[in-house]
Amino acid sequence: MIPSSLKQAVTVMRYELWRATKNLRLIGLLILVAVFSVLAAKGLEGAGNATAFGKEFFTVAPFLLIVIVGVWLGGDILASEFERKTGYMLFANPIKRVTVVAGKFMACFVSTLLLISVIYLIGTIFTLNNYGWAPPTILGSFGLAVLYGCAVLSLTFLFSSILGVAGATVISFSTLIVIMPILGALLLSKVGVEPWFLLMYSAGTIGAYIDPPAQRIVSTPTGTSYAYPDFTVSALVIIAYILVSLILCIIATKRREMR
Amino acid sequence: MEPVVTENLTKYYGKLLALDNLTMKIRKGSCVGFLGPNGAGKSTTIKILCGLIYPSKGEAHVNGFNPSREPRNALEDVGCIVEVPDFYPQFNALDVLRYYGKIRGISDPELGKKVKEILELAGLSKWAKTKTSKFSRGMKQRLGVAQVLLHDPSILILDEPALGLDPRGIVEMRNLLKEMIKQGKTIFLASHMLYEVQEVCDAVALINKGKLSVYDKVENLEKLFKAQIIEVDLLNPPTSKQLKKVKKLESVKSYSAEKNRIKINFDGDKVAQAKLLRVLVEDIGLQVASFRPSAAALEELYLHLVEE
Repeated sequence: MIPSSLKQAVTVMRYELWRATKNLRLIGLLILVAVFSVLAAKGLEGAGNATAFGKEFFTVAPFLLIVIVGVWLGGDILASEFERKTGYMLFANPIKRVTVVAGKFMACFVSTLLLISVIYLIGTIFTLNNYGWAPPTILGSFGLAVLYGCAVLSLTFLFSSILGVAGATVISFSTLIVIMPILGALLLSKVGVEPWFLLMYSAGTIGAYIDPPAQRIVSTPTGTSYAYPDFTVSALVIIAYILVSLILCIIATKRREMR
Repeated sequence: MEPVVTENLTKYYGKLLALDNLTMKIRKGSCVGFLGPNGAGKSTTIKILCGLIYPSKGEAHVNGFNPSREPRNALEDVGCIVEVPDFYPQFNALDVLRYYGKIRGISDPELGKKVKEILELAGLSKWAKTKTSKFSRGMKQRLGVAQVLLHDPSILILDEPALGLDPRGIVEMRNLLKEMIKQGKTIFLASHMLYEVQEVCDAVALINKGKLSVYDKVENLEKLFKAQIIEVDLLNPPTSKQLKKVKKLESVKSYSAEKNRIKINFDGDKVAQAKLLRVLVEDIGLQVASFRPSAAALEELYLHLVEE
């Protein structure tokens, strides 16, 4: 008797986590995240108070680390089934491709959640150690970071469902780290448009949530500037990225052939 | 209802026509050899049946379900092996079998027992805890076959299962297939190894340039071609006079002689075969050391149809 799709997805998730542990990918990321977070925290120790430290730390660390984590975990996860032909075994079993995507996504999400927790744990420990207290807004920032991590994974999964292993990794990384920030900066500076629809711009809320400035929109002689992205809009944008990317990823995986 | 059916199955890769209106039904409990040259459309057909690629036109049904649309139902009672399978390099043979066993819903105590049995059957017990990245091509093929048999399916769809195996492995594979046939399993076997197919299968489908050329029982195909090769080994090389006499025999279509061996392209049944042997020995005076029908009949048929 074939188990339910949910049970199959959980099996895929468990074995993907097992695989990530066996190939030392998860351990490698844990070390990277821990070392980077400690170094960032050490470098920011001169911040005046707990809020300023938290704001700086949780702007810098999650922004880059979450992208690295998401792309490293998700870049090859679907593409390799097609490119390295392991899919000849997996897809010839009585399992829907959407179940495979769900199981793999859950595995990457669990790993990402673990790694983001490590970043926040280190950040919070340093804040407590240096200033004797930590702003409670760290929890809200953590929620936004998890949501953002999910969006990075979704986008990477989408590229992985369409492209080869190398292509998916390079395109995911460059889209998130190079293209989106440049596009956002150009829109702001040259056109004067707030790039609220860009994922990387929405990621600005993660650090800003610790201590948002009183005024979000500031009028200047040269135009309008934005102190930080709108929290509600950003959360909705991140959710939209998650949903749209995942739906497109499922469609692409279902249509892709094992030639 | 036939367990494997294709109806006007057509597949284009871009502009290239890989499968051209392939229609065939595989009877329950039969073993059908699927032959054809490289690029004929064998793997394409197998991949469609296993839900790995989708037809451009037409339909495939496995156990009454379309594997493209309903893989869970279509592949529930099926074991598929496509080309030389590859596995996650981080996994060992145990991990691989447990993973696919879990996906198929085999419960824990039963799975452990089955995995042990199947590794023994595949000759991989010693390498159960070796990472698959260290496996040779033949070992990967064995593990692929083990995965196929793990859930004891009634339908086996096999693409070159003996590819990469050493001679001993090939014999073991042949015996395994014979055992599966005895158990009443339906087998669809794509292969280049004509002898294996002739030994194991009861029917042959021959595909060329995406089109089905022939699909019939092996014995009917031999009759269709009205020929079989008889290999005659002699103690001494035949004289030209003896060869002329052989050529003149009614049932002999043609022959070729090389040192102490004559290959006779023969048209006749078992009785005619016995008569031929008697004539060769008694009338022509050849010192026959062995006299046997060759497995080359299917090869002849294959070459004949593929050439066309």
